[in-house]
Amino acid sequence: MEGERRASPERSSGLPARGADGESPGGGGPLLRSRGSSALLQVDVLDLDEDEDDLEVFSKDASLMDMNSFSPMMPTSPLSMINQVKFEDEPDLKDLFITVDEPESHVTTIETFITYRIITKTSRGEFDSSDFEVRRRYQDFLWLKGKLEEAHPTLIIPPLPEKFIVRGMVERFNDDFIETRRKALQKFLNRIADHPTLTFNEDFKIFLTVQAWELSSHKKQGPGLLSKMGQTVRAVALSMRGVKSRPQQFMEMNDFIEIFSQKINLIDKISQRIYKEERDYFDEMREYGPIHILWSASEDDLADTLSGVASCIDTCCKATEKRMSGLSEALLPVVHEYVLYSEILMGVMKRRDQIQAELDSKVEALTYKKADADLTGSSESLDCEEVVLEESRFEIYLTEEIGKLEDKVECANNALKADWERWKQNMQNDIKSAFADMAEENIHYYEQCLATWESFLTSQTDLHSEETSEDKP
Amino acid sequence: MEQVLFSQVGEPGGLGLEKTLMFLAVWQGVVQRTWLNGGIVENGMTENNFWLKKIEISVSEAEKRTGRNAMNMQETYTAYLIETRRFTELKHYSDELQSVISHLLRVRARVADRLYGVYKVHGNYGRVFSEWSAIEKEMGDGLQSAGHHMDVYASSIDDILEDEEHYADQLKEYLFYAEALRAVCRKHELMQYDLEMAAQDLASKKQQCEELATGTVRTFSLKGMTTKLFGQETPEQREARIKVLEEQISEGEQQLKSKNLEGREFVKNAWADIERFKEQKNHDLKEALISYAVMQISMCKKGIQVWTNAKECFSKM
Repeated sequence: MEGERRASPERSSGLPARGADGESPGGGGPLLRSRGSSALLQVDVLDLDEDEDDLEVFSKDASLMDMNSFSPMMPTSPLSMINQVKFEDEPDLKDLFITVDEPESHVTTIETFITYRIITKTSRGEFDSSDFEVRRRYQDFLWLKGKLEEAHPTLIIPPLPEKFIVRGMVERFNDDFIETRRKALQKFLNRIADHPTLTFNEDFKIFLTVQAWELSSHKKQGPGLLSKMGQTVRAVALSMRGVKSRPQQFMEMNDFIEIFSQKINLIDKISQRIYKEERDYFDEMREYGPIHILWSASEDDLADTLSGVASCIDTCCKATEKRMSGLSEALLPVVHEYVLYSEILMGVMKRRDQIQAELDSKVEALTYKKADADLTGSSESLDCEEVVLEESRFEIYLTEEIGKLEDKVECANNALKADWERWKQNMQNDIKSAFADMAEENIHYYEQCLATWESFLTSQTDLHSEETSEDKP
Repeated sequence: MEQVLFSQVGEPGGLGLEKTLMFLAVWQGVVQRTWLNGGIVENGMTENNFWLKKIEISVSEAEKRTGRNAMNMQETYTAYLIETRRFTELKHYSDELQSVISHLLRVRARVADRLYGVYKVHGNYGRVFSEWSAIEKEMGDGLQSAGHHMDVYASSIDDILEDEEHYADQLKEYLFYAEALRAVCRKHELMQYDLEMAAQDLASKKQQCEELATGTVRTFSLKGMTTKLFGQETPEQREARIKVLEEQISEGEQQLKSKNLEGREFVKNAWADIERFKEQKNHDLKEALISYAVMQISMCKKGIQVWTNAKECFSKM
């Protein structure tokens, strides 16, 4: 790990980097793989050693992580400060571009699964190259999400598409399902890339860059199953205690999340229903036009008018199809993502509560201890000096722990607060665009239909005025 | 003109018309029976050529034999052919019209149902947006007003479909028109049949009379057989029978003439009516279709307005 990070000075001296996928870096010499400003790269080189400790932050260790995690209030390293400056000045300046495509089916004796091709293009110095191409399966995404949640328990990690859809699935992997999933996976990775903290996560980088076998071995490192179980047990125990007092703003946040979750779920259902109704309408319309053609075959005077009507109906039919596809591309995935987000938010709230609960339980313990000591101390001080010493040592230990936990809680709360604001802003933009797009799609649909019927009408009235002028002597 | 097939070009004079009628009626019967049986009618040449082979003589032959009558027969025959074809086509058309309009009405109703569904579901957005707006500070106003537009959109379908009902009613009128056409065709059929029967009856009576008068038996009859078996009747009896028959024949000839006149009158009037109806129908249906287009245009314009408003609200969120 460290070796890789220190590679930048070596890189600038001309050694070919260990391209993470084994290929020699494409385009350009070994010197400046980045397309970003060279000034930035030099800063990298200069500050790298000093940054070491801070860069440590972006590794897997769970509990102390958030102390140094990025927040607009507390930049901790020149590097991240530069990135922050970038973030504030040019919020649209992306230096990490990810696409997910080419789903491929793999059949083994044990199972069948699908992998997706992940292409990453970046100008960042920390990456050994500017282009990466790897294959990942859904399980790998799950792993990444888990690691991110571990590392940043009170940050809002973007949602993954569901494992499988229970109802209406005949084949586990039909084309629509795969395509929907592919788009969602791409969204997932790009959201991480756009997140000011998560984008620098080491596991994220590994996910994007290393070959499959390397990823497997990397996955096996880190806290084992038992320690994970231990964490879960503790978490459950704490959650059962309940939160003593959630700070006001988190109460409000929680209320919001509850109602938001309700509403977004409803909107998801409504939107799906609209799609279904439009599909049914489309199916009927397809039959409607041809009947007019059939009729026109047995008429002479009316034949023109009838086939005109038929053609208008067909045009409207096609417009309906376009309207439907607009809905399913623009609106449905966005709404659905926020349904999943609402679940994630509840999870984040819980984790924040757990962290606070840890603190609260220790504070309680200390309070009891102190109360205990007060009660017993005065009468038995001469006899139990050692006990008293033990107890005061314990009290000191508790106080230290409480100190740490207080820091931890404060960091967690700050991280969540900041991320919450960011999430709300994004949500507002996303929902706004999605619905505005839907409205635009509908306007376009009606405009198309209007045009076709209007031109039909014109042709009929033109004909009529032709006829009447012909009749005139 | 098609080859005309006749047998026994009839006697000169008065019997020409009726004989012609009889044969034409028989021929018509063949046509109609075949048509009724779903057979293909092409100038009377059906698979059932048995009938037709029996009565074969060319028009020119007929002309030679009967002079003036042949021309009459030809004309009469042509008239019959044309008339038959017109009524056949009319019946065909009325069946098609009825079938296609029924189908159209059914599908239109289904399309309207589906459209109703699309509009009404959008109304649900209205309610949910409104509830959601309560927890949003910046988005609240936009959501609320967008929700209002969703309600407007959802309720607009009621008027739209009511207008379409009028269109459906206009189409239904033309179902009745098709029915009326079929009634005319049926009446014509019945009249033809009536005429055919009367002509056959008359012809057979004449034949009987002839046989009695001349004593020859040309066609098989029960009377003929019994006479052979049990002996002939007396000359007085024969005279009486001839008398009766002659009266009947005279009556029959009158009836046939008047029926024929009735028929011609009916056909003339019916056809005039049909032509008139056709003009009316074309005019009315064209108007109905144009008004349908106008309705669609109005619906589209409303849709554009609502969604433009909604888009503005969404953009302000």
